[in-house]
Amino acid sequence: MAPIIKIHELRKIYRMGSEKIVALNHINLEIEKGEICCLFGTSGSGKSTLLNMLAGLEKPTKGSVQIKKIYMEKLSETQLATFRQRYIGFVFQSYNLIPTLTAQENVALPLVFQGVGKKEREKKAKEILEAVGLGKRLKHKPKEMSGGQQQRVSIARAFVNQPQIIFADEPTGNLDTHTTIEVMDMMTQIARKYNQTLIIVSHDPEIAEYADRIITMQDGDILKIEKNTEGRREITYEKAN
Amino acid sequence: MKKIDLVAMSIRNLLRRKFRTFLTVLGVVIGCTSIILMLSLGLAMDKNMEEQMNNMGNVTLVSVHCMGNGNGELFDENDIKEMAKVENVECVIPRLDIEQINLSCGKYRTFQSWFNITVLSPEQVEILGYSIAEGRNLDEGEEDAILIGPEILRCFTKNGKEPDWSKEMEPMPFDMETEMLTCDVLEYDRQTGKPVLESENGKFRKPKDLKIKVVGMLDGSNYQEANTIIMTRGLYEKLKKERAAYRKALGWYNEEDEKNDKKETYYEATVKVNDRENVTGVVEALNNLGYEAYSDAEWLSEMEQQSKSRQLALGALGIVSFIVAAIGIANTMMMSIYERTKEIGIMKVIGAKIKDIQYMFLMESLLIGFIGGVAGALISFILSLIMNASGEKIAVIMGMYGSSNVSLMPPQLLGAGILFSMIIGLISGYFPARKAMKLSALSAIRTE
Repeated sequence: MAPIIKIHELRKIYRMGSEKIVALNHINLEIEKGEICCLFGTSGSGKSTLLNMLAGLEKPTKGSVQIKKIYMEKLSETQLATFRQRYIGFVFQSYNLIPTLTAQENVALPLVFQGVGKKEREKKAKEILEAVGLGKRLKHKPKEMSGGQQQRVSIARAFVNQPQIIFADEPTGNLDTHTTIEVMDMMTQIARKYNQTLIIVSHDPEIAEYADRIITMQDGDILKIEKNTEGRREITYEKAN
Repeated sequence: MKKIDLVAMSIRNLLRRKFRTFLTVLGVVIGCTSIILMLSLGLAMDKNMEEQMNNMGNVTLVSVHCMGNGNGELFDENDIKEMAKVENVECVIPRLDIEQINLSCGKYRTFQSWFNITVLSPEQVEILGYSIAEGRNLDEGEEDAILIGPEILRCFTKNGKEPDWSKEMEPMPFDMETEMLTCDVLEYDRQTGKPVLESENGKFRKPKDLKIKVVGMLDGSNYQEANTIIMTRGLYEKLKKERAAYRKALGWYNEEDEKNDKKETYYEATVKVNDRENVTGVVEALNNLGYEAYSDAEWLSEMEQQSKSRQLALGALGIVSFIVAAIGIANTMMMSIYERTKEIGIMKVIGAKIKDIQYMFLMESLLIGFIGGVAGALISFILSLIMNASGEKIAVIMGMYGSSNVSLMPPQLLGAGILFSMIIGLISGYFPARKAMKLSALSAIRTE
């Protein structure tokens, strides 16, 4: 089966004045459809940069990112927006909900930009919110909900359009242990149910346990790749020292 | 993104900050109101001008007088020919005059004789643009017919009675279809109201009256025209001969009169210019030839210039307040973008196209313009009503004496005001919207 994401010789260099900072250094990686992947590493390891690159939020300095055989770095802003509408969902650490909109409206927002009619939008948003257990909170504003609830709204928003790929950037960073488990269970369950590819960025080993593959990063390089089958880890790649 | 969603979202965003939106809209309202009011005053001025122009008569006419100084010679045929040669002159009509002419009809007789008598051929009546409101033009060579302006009918009193000067004269009841006027050239005794038919040499017989009919009534809207009697050359000659005979009988006829009667002279002529634009040129040319030419158009263009500059000043005032409003909109939109940076980032990440973002902000500023425009149009409409109701004082301030309305507000003006406000909204929203559009999604989402 052809990989859904293919990263080839990806490099990202930031310039801070005259200094060059290598954020990503010759990354090669393939991710299969339906796979749950964890980009694991400490802060500054380059995992968030890699995620941004995958989502087309940043342009690589060199190399290429191919998603569904489309070269992300070659798309224009508008094409990227359309691409994200169709194939990509996002979950953020800080939820990033719009404070003036209700839960239902927040979830329906991606559909607004796709030109989906109001009735259909509301129906879909309601369904997914019910699926994440917020059926009774449709008309609540983000401020009226707990962190866990907000994150569930954000998850609902990411999944509302049934995208093929979901990116989650430290999705549980602001949550307590109990809620973390709840949220992670929920995300992985939905992703598996619809055979969606889920890429989680985290520095929490607990989170990594949920993934099929754990990609550990350090200083812009892939340190190792482990395959995780029911708790047993198998190293498939390790950086030569 | 659907248009209805776009509008709904923009309205929601505006309502989020009601007070700020209100203040911004208020700026537009003031701008819109002032520009509409200023323009309406300008329009009223124009209308006022036009009214005055209509009262004044034909602006393509130049009246030429012989110079009072020098030898004081009257115009003769050669002068008329010379005037006709001036560029852009269509024709020259010398003014012929009769010292004394009385009209009567039944018990009524004219109490004065200083009518504005104009001797014209039917063709010239048309060239000079007289409009015949009722009846027909004269026929070529018709010697028993005249055209009169409606004001002429106010110059009649019942036989021998002095007019009551304290009030406006009632027009004499007159039916031009059935009634005829009687015309004579006699002097009347003011006391008795009887014609003077006596000289040093004794009494003489009253000359035969002339019966004439009024074939046409001139349009009365122009003051000059309303007081005019038009007759053909034939009738004029006849009356002049009669007058000369009467004067001889009275013993008033001297050599000079004889000379004047033989050699045709005029003290005034009317020059018709082919176009309004050329009037000033013709006046100048005639003055250079040594005539004293004058045209209403000159005064008019001066008036027009004055009114133009007044309008310009008013327009500038309106524009200034609109600029202030535009700055207000731009400022509000910028603020709004700074506040909503994160929101814009989120929207971009979850699939908003950059155009969607731009349109969202443009729609907001457009809405501000639209609401402000509609409110402004409404307010200026009401203000206009008030101004017209309390009219005169303002009219005097504006230098528009005797004007019917100080503010004219056709629906197009209101529509234009609203449209203009919307355009201002769009323009002042453009750069903020571009800024929003260009925000990097990533950095926007990171702002807290």
